[in-house]
Amino acid sequence: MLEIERVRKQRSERWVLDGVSLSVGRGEIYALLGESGTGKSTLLRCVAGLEPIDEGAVSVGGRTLFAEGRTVVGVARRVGLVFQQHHLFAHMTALENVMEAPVQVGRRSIADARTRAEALLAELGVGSRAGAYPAELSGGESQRVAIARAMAMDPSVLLLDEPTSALDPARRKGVAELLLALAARGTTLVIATHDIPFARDVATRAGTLEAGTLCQLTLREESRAPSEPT
Amino acid sequence: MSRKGLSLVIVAVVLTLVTLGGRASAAPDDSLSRVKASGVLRWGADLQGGEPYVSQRADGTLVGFEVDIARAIATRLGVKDELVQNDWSTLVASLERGTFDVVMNGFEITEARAPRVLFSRPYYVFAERLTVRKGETRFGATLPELRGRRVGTLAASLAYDTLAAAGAEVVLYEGQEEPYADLAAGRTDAVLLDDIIAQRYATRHVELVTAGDLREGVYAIAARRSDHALMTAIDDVLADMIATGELRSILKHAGIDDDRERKLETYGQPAGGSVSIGESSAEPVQHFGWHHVWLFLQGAGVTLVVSTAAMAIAFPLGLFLALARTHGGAWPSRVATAYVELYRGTPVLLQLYVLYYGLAPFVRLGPLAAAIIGLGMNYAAYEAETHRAGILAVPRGQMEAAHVLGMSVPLALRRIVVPQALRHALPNVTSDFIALLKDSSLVSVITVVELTKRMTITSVDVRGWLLPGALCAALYFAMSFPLARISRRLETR
Repeated sequence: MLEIERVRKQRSERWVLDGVSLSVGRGEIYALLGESGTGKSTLLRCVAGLEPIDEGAVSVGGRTLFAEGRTVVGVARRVGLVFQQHHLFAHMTALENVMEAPVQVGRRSIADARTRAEALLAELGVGSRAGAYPAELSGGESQRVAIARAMAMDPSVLLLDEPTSALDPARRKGVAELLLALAARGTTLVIATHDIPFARDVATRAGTLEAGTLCQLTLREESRAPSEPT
Repeated sequence: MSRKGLSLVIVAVVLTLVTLGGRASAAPDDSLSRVKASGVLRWGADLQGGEPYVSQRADGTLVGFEVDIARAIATRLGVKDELVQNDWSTLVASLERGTFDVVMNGFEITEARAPRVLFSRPYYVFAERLTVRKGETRFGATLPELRGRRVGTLAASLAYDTLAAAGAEVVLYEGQEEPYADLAAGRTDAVLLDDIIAQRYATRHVELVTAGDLREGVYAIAARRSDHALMTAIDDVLADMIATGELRSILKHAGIDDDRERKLETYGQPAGGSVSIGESSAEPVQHFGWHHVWLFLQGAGVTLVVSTAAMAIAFPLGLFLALARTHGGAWPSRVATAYVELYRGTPVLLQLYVLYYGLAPFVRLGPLAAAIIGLGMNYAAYEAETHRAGILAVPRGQMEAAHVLGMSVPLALRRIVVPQALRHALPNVTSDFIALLKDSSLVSVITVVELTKRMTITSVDVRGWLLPGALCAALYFAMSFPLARISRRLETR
């Protein structure tokens, strides 16, 4: 579903991404591991179209999105991104956040978008918070609204940047179940995280960025024991 | 400070002012000996009055027939003379507070002024000259025919009193050049001013002609009402200068001597000509009354209209400039930056002059339109900075989130960034609007009579600044305070 081919990206005279290639299939969950500063977020931002790539290509479902730094196809309806800080629109309620892009970009009717947004929020367990403003939401609620906002555009690929960074263990479990459910319905997920136990719980495959290149890891072979409290 | 505390302070300030105002009359008359002891006769005049009264050469030396007269008087009193530059409209107020000893600056003897100052005998007789455009046939050169006509003149002048009494629509200017420029541009029907002004300034416009002289008036030196000794000495000197012909030769040198000046020999002598001088004219003082309050409310209305309309231009134009700077790309950003720097870096007074007088040959704006456009374009520069700060205060992530959802830059700006930026900008926009309310007083230079101008006109009429000033301040406060309250309420929301 998602094909990343020899992507290179330079930032202040340094190749942050130096020939990254990755293929993630439909319904797969891929975990990008590594400490901060290794380029995980940069790779997500490049795939989401927030930053141009210098070399290589990105395609989704066989359609090339970027090649050699140029945006070839509007990426919006195919790739969603959930930011680490969520970046909900501060002047809109949770419901309005989810409805905004379908109405303004997707040209859906307001009634249509509202029904869909309410259903998404309910599905993600924040249906009762539809009328709340972002400042009134907890970290976990805010994240679910952010996921609902991305899912409202029906992306084939959903990228999540550090989805567990602000969550307590109980919430982490909830997010894990949520992501597995999304994958089960056919969404391709790429998660940037430095939370290895979380990655082990949800990811089908994993890799780590080192010196700008991707090294595949084998998560399942590793013992689950160390992360379980005894 | 509590409301009660504030009102106590205001009462204390007013009492102090009243006490200070009353002090001068009680002092003994040592005016002449004071001038002689200091060795300097300080006289107040406005260099903006220009030729032939008082003007400054490129090398800084002063020239003009009043400079020569002042020097002659000072010499005979055994002292030096010193010109103190002062805005023409506040000459009497400055005289009363002791900034200089006398006023001499084309200062006419009028009924309104007589009770407030001590006049010398006249040193010049002039005519009020009516200037019109060539081919003017709608009215002739008589006062009754000026009723309802737009006639330009200078504020606080004899011509102003004359026109107001005749029922003309008086358009007030600050300098001598502008009334004729405006008449030539067709913004007024006529100009009534002293003949020696008309000679110098009207003749520069080939399309203007003299319609006729409507009445005579005289210039005299004015001193504080308590300074009898000084005024008697000045009168003696003037009498001597007239008798010996020295005064006429000064006038001849300035090129303004004419037959009318023969009357100087009889004016002001005890037998009395038509002009009575000094204490003898006990004109009833015009009291500050309800009709003044009504005029003030009208002035406040003009202030409100000018400010609101100017803000209605400044707010959207400022937002447009701010967006051009932050998201417009290289060239729009450069143009917007240049606009902001140009308008912020030059005085709004100058911009109003250029817009109204400078561009008159190309764009003929009415005074109100010029005031609104001028202030609006100036404040747009400030609003641009306020909006830019608001836009920059919106986190980058908001724009990125919109971008990831497929929103174009214009759409994201309109739906996501600008609504949030306006909330950040709101307190500063309100504060700018309050500043604009007060800055709108500057438009009086292009003949719009708003609240502050009404106050300065009235204070001349009623010979006092305190009451008109207090009412003027109260009206400004009544307009700005609710704004501040509304802004505070919106902010907390």
